Amino acid sequence: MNIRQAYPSLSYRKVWKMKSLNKTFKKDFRNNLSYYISITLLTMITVFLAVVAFTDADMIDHDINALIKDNKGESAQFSTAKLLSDEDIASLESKFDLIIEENMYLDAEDGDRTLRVFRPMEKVNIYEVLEGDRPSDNKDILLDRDFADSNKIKPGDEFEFGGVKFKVTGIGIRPDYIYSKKNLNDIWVDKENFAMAQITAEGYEELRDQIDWNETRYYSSVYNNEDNINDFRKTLYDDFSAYQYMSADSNERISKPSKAGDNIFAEGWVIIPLLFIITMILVSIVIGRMMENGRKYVGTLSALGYREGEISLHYSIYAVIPGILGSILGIILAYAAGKGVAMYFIVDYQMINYDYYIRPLPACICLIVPMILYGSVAYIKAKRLLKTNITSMLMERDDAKKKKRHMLEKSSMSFKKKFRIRELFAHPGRTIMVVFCLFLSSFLCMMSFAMKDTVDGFIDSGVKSMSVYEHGYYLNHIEYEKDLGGLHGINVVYERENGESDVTLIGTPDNSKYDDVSMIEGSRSEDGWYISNVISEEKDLHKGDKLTVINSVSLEKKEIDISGVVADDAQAAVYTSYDNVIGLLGIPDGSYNVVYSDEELDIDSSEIAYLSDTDSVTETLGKAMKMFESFIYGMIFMGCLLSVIAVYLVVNMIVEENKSSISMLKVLGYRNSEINGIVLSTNHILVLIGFLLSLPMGFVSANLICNVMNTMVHVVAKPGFTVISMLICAAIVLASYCVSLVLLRRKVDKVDMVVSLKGNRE
Amino acid sequence: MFVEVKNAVKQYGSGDAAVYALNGADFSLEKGEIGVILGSSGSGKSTLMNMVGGIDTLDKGTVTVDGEEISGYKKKELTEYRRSKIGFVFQFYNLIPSLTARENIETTRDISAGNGIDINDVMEKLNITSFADRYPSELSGGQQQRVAIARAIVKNPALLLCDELTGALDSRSAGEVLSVVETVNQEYNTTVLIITHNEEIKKIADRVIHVKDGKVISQETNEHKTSVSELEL
Repeated sequence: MNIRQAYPSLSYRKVWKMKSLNKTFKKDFRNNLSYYISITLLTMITVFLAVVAFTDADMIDHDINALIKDNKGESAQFSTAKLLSDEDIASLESKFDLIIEENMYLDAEDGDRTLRVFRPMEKVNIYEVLEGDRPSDNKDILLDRDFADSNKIKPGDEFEFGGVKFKVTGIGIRPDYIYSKKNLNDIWVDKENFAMAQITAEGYEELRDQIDWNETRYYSSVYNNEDNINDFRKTLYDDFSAYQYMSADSNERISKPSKAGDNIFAEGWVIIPLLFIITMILVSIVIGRMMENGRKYVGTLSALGYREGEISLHYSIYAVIPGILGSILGIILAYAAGKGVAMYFIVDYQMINYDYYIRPLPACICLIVPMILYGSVAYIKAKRLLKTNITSMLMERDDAKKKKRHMLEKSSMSFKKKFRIRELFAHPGRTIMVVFCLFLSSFLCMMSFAMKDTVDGFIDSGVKSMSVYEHGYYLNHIEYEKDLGGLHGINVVYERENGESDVTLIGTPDNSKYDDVSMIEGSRSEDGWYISNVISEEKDLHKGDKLTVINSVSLEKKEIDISGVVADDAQAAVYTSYDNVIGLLGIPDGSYNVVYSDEELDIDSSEIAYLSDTDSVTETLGKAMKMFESFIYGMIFMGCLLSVIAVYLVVNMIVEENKSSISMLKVLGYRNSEINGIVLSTNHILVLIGFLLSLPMGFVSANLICNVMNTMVHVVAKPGFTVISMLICAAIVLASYCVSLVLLRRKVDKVDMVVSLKGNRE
Repeated sequence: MFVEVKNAVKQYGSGDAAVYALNGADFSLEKGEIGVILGSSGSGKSTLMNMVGGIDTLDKGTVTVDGEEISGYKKKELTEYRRSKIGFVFQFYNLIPSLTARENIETTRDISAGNGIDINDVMEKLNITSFADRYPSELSGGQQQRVAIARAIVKNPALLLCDELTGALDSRSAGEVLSVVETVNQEYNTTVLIITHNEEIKKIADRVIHVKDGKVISQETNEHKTSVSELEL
């Protein structure tokens, strides 16, 4: 007696609801537990990544830029030979609708450590207290968070530097030092040894006399009207003899963190939608297969008189449940761990007080899309299934599949091989999905290793490019008189048109090793102007083309006739003779601001802006690479996870769909290992196909990475993908494939002989 | 005795929901005999066959086949037992749908430890050769059942267990299939145990066992054994 007969007063809808909610769902859930878990997990991971990427990007973008804006982060900084009086400042501010304030800081060294103490500013670059209080006493100090955390210093602690004792009142940040490089030319931040501090204005004056300080002064300005910038800069040059100007866009301490959110967002848009679509397709296929496996039940409901719409809706609800569950879990996970993930993106920057909350838009999209998609797939699949006749459904016959099995009947191949081959061809959708998932996981691994190899290669070539001499001493001024030893050169940063990244004009010493730097195009001559490979690649400029550079102080333009391309992969630079640069700048012959030497020179640190030697460049790039490695390992992990879950899902399907055959093989006396050999090995060949298909993509991705590095980081990296990396990728993909098979062995072992035999008929 | 079941008990569920599929069943069969177990639906006859075939295990009692007491066997030992001694034929044939008739038969030949029968001989005897390259879905019920029998006997099992082997067939096909079983019994001296609710089939048995409510209610030797051709199916 069925439910309708037992309860004639109930409508079909009520009966159906009763069945589905009280009985069928539980049974179906139990039977397909591994599917539900896998789909829920996949949805959870995808939703987590999507929500975190967009939430983190928005948080970083909003909070960093809000801090810069609220604290009047500078639009530019400049230095003038003629100091600006208060009246000058007031006049300029009023004329050009801007704010100007003098920036002062003292640098002192104690061993490896450097303390930079800022005089508090009131109009521009105002510091923000992140923890504790503002300094109120002359011996109070407020430290930056990175240094404090690296040295385990907390508000209330005592801090001693160069024999002077301070009381730490709080932790703070300046808007112009969120990326707190000691020198702008440093390749990396040194959180442990470089401290930034705020003290009171009186305390600042008092300190001058206590330690051997180097004081730096320049002006910072905030523009309210960008139309006035060029006029203002011209005035600075003409009336105040400006000799240095740097916009916030050219200042990495400001530009990098302010663009960090946008970069994450851009990267997220490449990977996340792709991952989301792939997951949705995979899950949709799985749901479709699950429904096909349940066609006997669909047939039964149909035979009982349930309407198509009711049955389809019933199955949609099944499919929607893991979608909702996965989405909710993904959002919960994003809520719990999203801020931690964000820290990975902004590890270079000072830790400000981020306000982390799940952004409603991505959360809503992630909550709705899987639900709608899974539900729709199940609905459409059920509708399609219901078009077949009820008897076929009840007998679990699938005429379409039978046709696809027709192959190799006359072959003398063993039945095991035939079984595997037919399994692959009888379910082309499933097979393509496995190949695609294996391809994708191989590709993710390959892309990660291609990145690693490319960056490794760049470190080698970059170190060579940056270390023509063992030691480079970059002075903080132009030296006119003293001979500090070594070979003298001159480096000056010029702007490019249309806000493109700055370019360094390198005036190389005569008869130096620079004459031997290898050329990609053209040959060296004394009067030539040679662009680095970075500019050539980025702007597709070659010998015979022209490049316009702009003096950042005078705004004078110089059109360079490119004589050739130098093999410098590490910087956007123009190489020319020392005389050419001296002539361009109009400074006296013999002036220099760089000293090159293969021997270590004894130059007073107060004269040096930064040092560059082969070891430190290698070490710094190595440190940078370490950070990069964690990203690479993250990608590899993602690849493996995807491979394990996808293969598990698909092979699970094979086991499920062959349950009766497995059961029969058991009855016949096949050992579990033999059955595993027949059923689970079906996809072995697909691992190889997926891997081989991903190989060319590995090389393509290496090229793409190089293009991205060239456009975004302004370096030239040669695409690299070594045989060793290829083998490691193969091993990783194979291992993750094996893991999913091992997980499925239990599933095969658990197939019951008695139960399966009862349902087996064709 | 070649097959001896003593005090077989099998319980499903527990407490108030406990159901005894077997409740102290006993029977025996000599080597080379055809035994027919008769009983209505739910009487426990399939459970009895599953125990003898090593598909399921008893809660109590013993099953001895060809001198081996299998009731104490672990999973792996039961697999080896089924592999070496037992041939199964089921009501719904249980052929592997993605394999042809020949390939289905090969599944057992592959695991017969050298004492198997030539696959072509079996196919010829059972009239399978003409449709050997067809898939189960392309065969009639009778043809499928013949393939299932060929698959069971190709490894030359000591005991052939047939569970409602004619249950899904028309009378003509049923006759053909039973003839095949009879031939197998005579040609290879294979002991056969047939489970059915069709009273007519008991006429070809050497021994008839009646099962009811999980117990063997009678066990008798058939003094008037007839051939399949004389059955009125």
